[in-house]
Amino acid sequence: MRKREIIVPVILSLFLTFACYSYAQPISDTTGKIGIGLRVNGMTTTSDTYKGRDIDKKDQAMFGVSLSYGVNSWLSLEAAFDGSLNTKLKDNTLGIDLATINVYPLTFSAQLRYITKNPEFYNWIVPYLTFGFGYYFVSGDVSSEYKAEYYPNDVKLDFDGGWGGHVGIGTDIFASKTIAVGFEARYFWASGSIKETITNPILNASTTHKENFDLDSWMLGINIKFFFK
Amino acid sequence: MLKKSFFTLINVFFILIFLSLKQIMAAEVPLPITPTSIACGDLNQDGYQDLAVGIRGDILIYWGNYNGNLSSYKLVAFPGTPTKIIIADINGDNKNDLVISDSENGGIKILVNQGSGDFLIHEERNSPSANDFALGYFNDDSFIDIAVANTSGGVSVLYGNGIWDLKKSTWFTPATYPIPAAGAATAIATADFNQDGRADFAVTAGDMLYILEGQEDGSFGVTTQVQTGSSPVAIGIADFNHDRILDIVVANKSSNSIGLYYGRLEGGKYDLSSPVFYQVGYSPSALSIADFNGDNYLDVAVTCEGDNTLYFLLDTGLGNFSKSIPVTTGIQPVQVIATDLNHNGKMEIITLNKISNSFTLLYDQEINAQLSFRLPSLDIKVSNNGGNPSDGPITVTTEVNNNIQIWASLDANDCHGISADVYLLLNASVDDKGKISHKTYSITSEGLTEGEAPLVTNWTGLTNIPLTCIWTMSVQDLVRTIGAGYYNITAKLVIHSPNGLTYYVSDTADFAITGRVLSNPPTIDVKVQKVIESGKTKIKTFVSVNANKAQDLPAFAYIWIECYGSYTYTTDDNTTEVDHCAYIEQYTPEGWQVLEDKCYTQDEWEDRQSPHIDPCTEWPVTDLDNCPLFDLPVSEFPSGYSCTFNVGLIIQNEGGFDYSVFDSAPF
Repeated sequence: MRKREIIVPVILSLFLTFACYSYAQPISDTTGKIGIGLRVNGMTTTSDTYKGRDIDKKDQAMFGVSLSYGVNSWLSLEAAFDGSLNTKLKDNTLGIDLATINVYPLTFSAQLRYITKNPEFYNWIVPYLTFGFGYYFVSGDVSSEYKAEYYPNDVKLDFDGGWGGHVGIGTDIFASKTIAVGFEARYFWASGSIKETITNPILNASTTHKENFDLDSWMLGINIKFFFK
Repeated sequence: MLKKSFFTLINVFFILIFLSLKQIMAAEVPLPITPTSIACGDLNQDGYQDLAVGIRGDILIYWGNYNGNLSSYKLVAFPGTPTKIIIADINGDNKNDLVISDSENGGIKILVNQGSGDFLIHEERNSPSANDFALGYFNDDSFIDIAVANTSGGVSVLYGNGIWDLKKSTWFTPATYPIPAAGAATAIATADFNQDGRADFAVTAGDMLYILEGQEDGSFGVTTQVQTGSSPVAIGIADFNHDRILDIVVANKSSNSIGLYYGRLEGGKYDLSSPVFYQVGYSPSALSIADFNGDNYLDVAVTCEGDNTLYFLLDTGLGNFSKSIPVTTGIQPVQVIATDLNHNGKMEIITLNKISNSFTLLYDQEINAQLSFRLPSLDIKVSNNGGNPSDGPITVTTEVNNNIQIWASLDANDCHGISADVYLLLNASVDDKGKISHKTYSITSEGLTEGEAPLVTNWTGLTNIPLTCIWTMSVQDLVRTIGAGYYNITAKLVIHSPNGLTYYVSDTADFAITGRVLSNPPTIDVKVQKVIESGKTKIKTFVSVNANKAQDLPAFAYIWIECYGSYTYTTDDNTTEVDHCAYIEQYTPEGWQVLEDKCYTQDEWEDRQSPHIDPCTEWPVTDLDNCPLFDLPVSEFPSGYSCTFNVGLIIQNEGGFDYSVFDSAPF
């Protein structure tokens, strides 16, 4: 239901964009330009369950770099790699931290850009829609609290990422032909997995439990891009 | 070719023997680490009993199969040290879960069965630390509740909320009910003791056993308390004496005993008798109740961690226990459970051995082999006047000639040569001035002694004895000593076995004595004088009566003469025969009446029935002093016969029973 609410306005926006695209003005036209960008995002995570218990992911910042290419005045392709700061998974039922994870999305996006041809409007402001896919790498460490819970066993959590998709909306504000500052809001959905291995060191025997968990998050960020001809 | 077939056959034979031995031999299954708890139940919904063994940090699950064999273990992580496990369906999903107390972190944790061998844990937040706990329905809802013997004292009840969501940190609402003893509650068990439809608790703490009865509002309060032995650690509940009232057994760790408390229920008030203590091995640690010897009576299995033994207290059917010889377990057995692993309707026993890191599994065949030790079989019977001995009850009247005989037989079974004390106890409920008085007398070499005393002490050499009359006593003497009423004769052997154990074997028979006995009955003295008057020989008869306490009591008077003679003759075939002759006459209101005047052959004499004598008059007993009765000419009687003149009184008691006194004089 949540994904549907996001996808419908995005498609509507795409339709409007295709219907209204116009000739780009020179300052914001990135046709044939390669751009690199730096960005910082706030990641607003969603909650999930693990082993039936209530798990929260603490909101965290994510830093990234991007590489873009302007195919034409209304379409730009982008590859980006981001990395989150340490994000705590908290077991709300037990009241202890489960682990600290880092999410590293490697995403590929298409931006549908709208540059007005009407000189009455600011043609250096380019709103765009973005959508794409990517692989969301996840790494993490089990918390000392969770380890203590199962002492004298040794607890190991292996995190694995997964493929996911994203949609978003943003705007680039061009200061010159080579520099733009952008704001973007995107939502991505992806699923990772946790493999829990609890080993009794005396028995040298283990019990394992594997479970998927949602990485879905909102990302709200600011970026700066440099364009080269 | 023939040799090959032969050896193949031999191999198959030995394999079959090995497989059969595997089924019947006690198995000590090694565990990789010190075990702390054990439970059994069906955890994978296959209908077969599985085993859960707790170790620090984990639960080892052994899957059972149809043959009662166990798989290798599956590890289920557990955050803490499980000290007690109960297998039950907590959340009503038809899958048995593991309810576990954690001594390391405190509290109750539940491993929720997901099926397919997976378990997710629920840690009940704020649950008390438990020495023991029990499950049941303790309030009016249909959600399972947990009763906890609190390590900090008292009983805590965790009332189930009915919301079994793993996201929730609490599934239960706790309430605590105090008990008088300071310190930790050590064991708890639940049952409806007072039969009011509500669950009650039996709890041990501070060398006391408390009964907490469930109240209408779902709370609990102490209603009964009794002393236990030292350091009670385990409780068992069953109706051992078959009176439909629950009894309780308590394992007392420091006094090396099992205390048996009989339940009593009067007017809805449940109470406990004073305990009967059975000494077992050193440091009894746990107990389990089931029918271990297939006699349909519930027995008690007790592990003793101090001397690595397992004892069976076998219900004799009388409500008491016969203690088995000890069975050796692994080192320091701390828990014991009974379950039918192999689906043959007979119980297996599993002991959890803390030091030897193992559990000992005794299949029912092995248990039966251990319990095949047979105590002596004692049979006591009772008869009246040499009649057929029976277990009774028989009813005997207080007639003067009535006797009670006690018979006994003994089959020493496996106790040949062992010494024993022998008791013959008469337990009587007699009328004492309108009230029932209970008395116990012992039959000893000095006679009847009030109280319990041995007939024989340290009788060496138990052996088989056929049914033998071991004691006879006049009913009147018995009534004079004890009274008329209901009697139970109990023969008891206290057997001192060479291994220091004492066994008790007993049997009983019942009889009742009705009627009364004159404390100072009348006496009769008959005298006969032969005199010659007017050339004729006459018999003068005199009677003296001392009425004593029978003064003026109505009595039937009997007067009769019996004469017997015999003569020898030779038959035609030169054999010598003896004929016997009887001449009997009785005095009636109409005068003397001949009842019999006949001679018999030897065979006829042996089948002869004596004629019935009728009373001549009804007479109030009074004193007589040489009162002359009759002058009888000798010529009236057959010559050569030996005669007796007989006088008797039969006194009619108020209850319709007789007292007889007779005397006779020859002439």
